[in-house]
Amino acid sequence: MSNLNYKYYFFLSAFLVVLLFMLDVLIGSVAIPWNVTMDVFTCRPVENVTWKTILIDFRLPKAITALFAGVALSVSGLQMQTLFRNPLAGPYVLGVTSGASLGVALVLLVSSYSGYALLSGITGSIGVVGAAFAGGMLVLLLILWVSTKIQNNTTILILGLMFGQFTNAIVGVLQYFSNAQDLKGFIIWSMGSFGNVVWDEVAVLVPIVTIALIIAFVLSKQLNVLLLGESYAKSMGVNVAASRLKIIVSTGLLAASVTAFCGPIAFLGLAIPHLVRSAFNTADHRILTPATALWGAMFALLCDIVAQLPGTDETLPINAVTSIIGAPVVIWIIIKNRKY
Amino acid sequence: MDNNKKQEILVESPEKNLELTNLSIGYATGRKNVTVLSSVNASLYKGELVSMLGPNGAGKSTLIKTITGILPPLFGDIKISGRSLNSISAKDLAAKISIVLTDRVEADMLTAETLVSFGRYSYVGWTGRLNQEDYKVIEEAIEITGIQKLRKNFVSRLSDGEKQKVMIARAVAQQTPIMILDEPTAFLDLPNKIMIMRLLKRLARDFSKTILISTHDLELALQTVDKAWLISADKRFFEGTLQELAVNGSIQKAFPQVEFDQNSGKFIFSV
Repeated sequence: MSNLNYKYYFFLSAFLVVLLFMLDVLIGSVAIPWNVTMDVFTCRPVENVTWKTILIDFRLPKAITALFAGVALSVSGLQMQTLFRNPLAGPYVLGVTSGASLGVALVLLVSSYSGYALLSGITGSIGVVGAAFAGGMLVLLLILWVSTKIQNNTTILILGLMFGQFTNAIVGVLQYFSNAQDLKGFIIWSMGSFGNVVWDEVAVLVPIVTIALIIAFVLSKQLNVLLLGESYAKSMGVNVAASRLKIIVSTGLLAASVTAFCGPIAFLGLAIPHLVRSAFNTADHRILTPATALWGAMFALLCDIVAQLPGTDETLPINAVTSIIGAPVVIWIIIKNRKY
Repeated sequence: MDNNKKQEILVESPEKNLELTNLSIGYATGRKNVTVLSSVNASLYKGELVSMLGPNGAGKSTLIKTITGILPPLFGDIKISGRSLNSISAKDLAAKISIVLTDRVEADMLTAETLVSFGRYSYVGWTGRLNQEDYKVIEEAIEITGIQKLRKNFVSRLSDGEKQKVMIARAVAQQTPIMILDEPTAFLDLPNKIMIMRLLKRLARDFSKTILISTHDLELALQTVDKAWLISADKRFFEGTLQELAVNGSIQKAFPQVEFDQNSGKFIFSV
């Protein structure tokens, strides 16, 4: 594909992101006329205060969260697939999400017993994000440590799944010991949602994702060479240990922060990089990283719109939608990579 | 200071690209060092194609890993263009030695051309943007290795022989005086083995590269290379031209199935 074609693709993707973002704000369980929506966003006086609140305090933060979550999870998945040189790597499959769940479950247990409501408000946010991040990073570091001992990528992947199962088991035990109120909070968190995020939390999520994303963009050159494996990378002058650490920090920040605020979101991180590679026909991260970011935003917004079930006043858990779209992509990857 | 400089100049020979002095190689397991090979003394010169021969487990891979800086040496000295290996930064080393390994590259949607361009990694800035000079070098590497028709193909779809040529092109694009290849002809059929050996021979002769390969293909190596490093089953290291190694009986000792015919000057394989 030529540079001109890339530019055309990027322009089209960016346009779709903007379009889907506006649609995501427009569509919801409460029907709000689009001219009222326009009035709200152009700061003109609006008679219906409820509509204004819905738009400004619910739909807008939700759409921003969906956008950033999509970007973060997809770029995180891309980095992991390159680092582990495994097409099936991603935040969900490698157990990073489970680790984050473990962290949140621990916070839940502590809050159950100490009487502090840690799962709400800005202090809660930082507590939950911290716990989810610590849990996610712990699993990622474990995987990384194992990967230095075991070179076989399939083994690492299976170990990731096992770490995930293990942390899920501990989460189960913790759930057993916590009270009904907090348990309900945790279960709702674990079903995944872009809608439970308030402005204060957006103000935490957006800077974290932005910083991690900048690291990811800067690492594009290293990621390219790491496609050939660590020995080749080293022979071309890459400081492999430092690069690996930066990638892990970036991918961990992206996956863990989104999981903390939105709950575990399935398949986006795994599926989007593959769709982008196929659509852009390249393995060059200087193109893949920004393209994956755009497509991640696009698909997360699309899933959020679908989850609203436009025309009805019901909403689906976001995980149900991402899985319905993501699972076929994974099947397609497996069939495509089959060796004859 | 001045004395040191003089010494550097004396040690540095324009022809000698690699020098191993009293080198011991091996690896650490726990607190113990396992020595694989010791007292290795050898040199590689500009324009030489040298084959490292030896039975499985003799330490060929360990020696390659040590020379390329992946494993630290247990004892002794490695000099690259007159400079001690441990004083060379990773970036500078990338301008001295390029490698082709047996590791399989299976990245999805990676074109041959893009893979070759990765050879320019240490020359470009952090954005990875290639300039005119880089494109020229990549173009030359593609031409020299004869992969013009493969350039837009995905590496994952190439045959083993084609893949090997692309990996060699990447090493050429890295523009290093020394190229080291681990088993470049393994897993290839005979026509491809011959094609790769001819390509390497041409790179050494026409482009003044120092090329070291490890190989099991004794017959092919004996017909192609100028010089050999020989590791015998009893872990002894020999260096010399094929003639020298044949006359002093080292080759026959390491490979009992080979005989050297003094009259024709050729190696005979007893079946």
